[in-house]
Amino acid sequence: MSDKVLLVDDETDFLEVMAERMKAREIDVTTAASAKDALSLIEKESYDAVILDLQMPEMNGIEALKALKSKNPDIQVILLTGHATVQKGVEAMKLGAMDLVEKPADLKVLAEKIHKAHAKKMVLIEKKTEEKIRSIITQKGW
Amino acid sequence: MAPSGSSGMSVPEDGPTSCGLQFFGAVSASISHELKNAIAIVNEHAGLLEDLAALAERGRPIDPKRLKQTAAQIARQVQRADGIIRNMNRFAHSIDDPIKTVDLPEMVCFLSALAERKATMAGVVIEVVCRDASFSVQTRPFFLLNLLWLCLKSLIETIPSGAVVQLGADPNDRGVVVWLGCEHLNRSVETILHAVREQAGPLLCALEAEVAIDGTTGRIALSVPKIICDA
Repeated sequence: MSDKVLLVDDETDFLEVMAERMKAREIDVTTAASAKDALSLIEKESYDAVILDLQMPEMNGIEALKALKSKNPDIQVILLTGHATVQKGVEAMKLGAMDLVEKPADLKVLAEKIHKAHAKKMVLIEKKTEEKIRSIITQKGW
Repeated sequence: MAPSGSSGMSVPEDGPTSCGLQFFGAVSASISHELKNAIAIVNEHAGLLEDLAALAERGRPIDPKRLKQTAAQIARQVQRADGIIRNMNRFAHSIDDPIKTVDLPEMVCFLSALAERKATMAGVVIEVVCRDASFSVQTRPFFLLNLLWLCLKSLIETIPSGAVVQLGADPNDRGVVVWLGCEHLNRSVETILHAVREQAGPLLCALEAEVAIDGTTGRIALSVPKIICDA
């Protein structure tokens, strides 16, 4: 099963070429040019990872991360930034980001992180399913 | 002791310098972010060419149209980065001469270019309405640019996303008036004026400049003398 990714960046040239390269690696990629668009997309679709630019007009990456996490706490977010600082990294991690990658990104590294996000999501889904089953068994008293 | 300007404020010894350092830092950070974005796109196109070459090695022919498209996109980003670096170089040299004759409309255009990213991030559009004009003053170019930046920054941080800021300059008896207007200014103009006076006191003194609200237009008007006393 291919990894499903939502790529969010206001630089449309970047979105187009990055999406093309990801597709060539059999990553199922959807693009959004703003945090607002990304937020409406995650309401309709489930993604293994959201790659989110930290500096975007109107709603920046940190605000978008908070909004994404409040809509879906299990969502795996990888932040893309022009200048990664320890402070930014710590702030992003505290808010639940999975990782922080500096631009220009190495697609090989990014693809590995996406794959890890997919695996992490699967673990979370399995855990939730297990909890659900356990709760049903307890309630029904089988 | 720095000159005491018409704003009547006292100037701390290092006031304009410390203000200037913050300005220099803010502009440099903005420029480096912009450059990183351009580099990131060039990097992806280089990666795409590698991908296409790898496919060609495995027998899939390369579409020349695709190559031309990629080359054009790389050239566009190179041009963008070149523009950013030109502005950066001009900005760095703005500190070369403490006092210099500057063309005000040209400086307003330059300010607009420097603040474009900040405006875009806030969803604001800057419109320069004095592009074709030409008149000059003898002033401290770096301090004036810094003062204009502070005015524009305060305005951008106050107005709502989607707003348009108009920047202009007109000659008058004293020298030049640089003005900043926005249809959303009405309620917040006093707040902006207060913020500018608070942050830019030392610069106003050093430039013998005045900042006020134009009673007729409701714009923020920055009055600069034709020739600074120290010149």
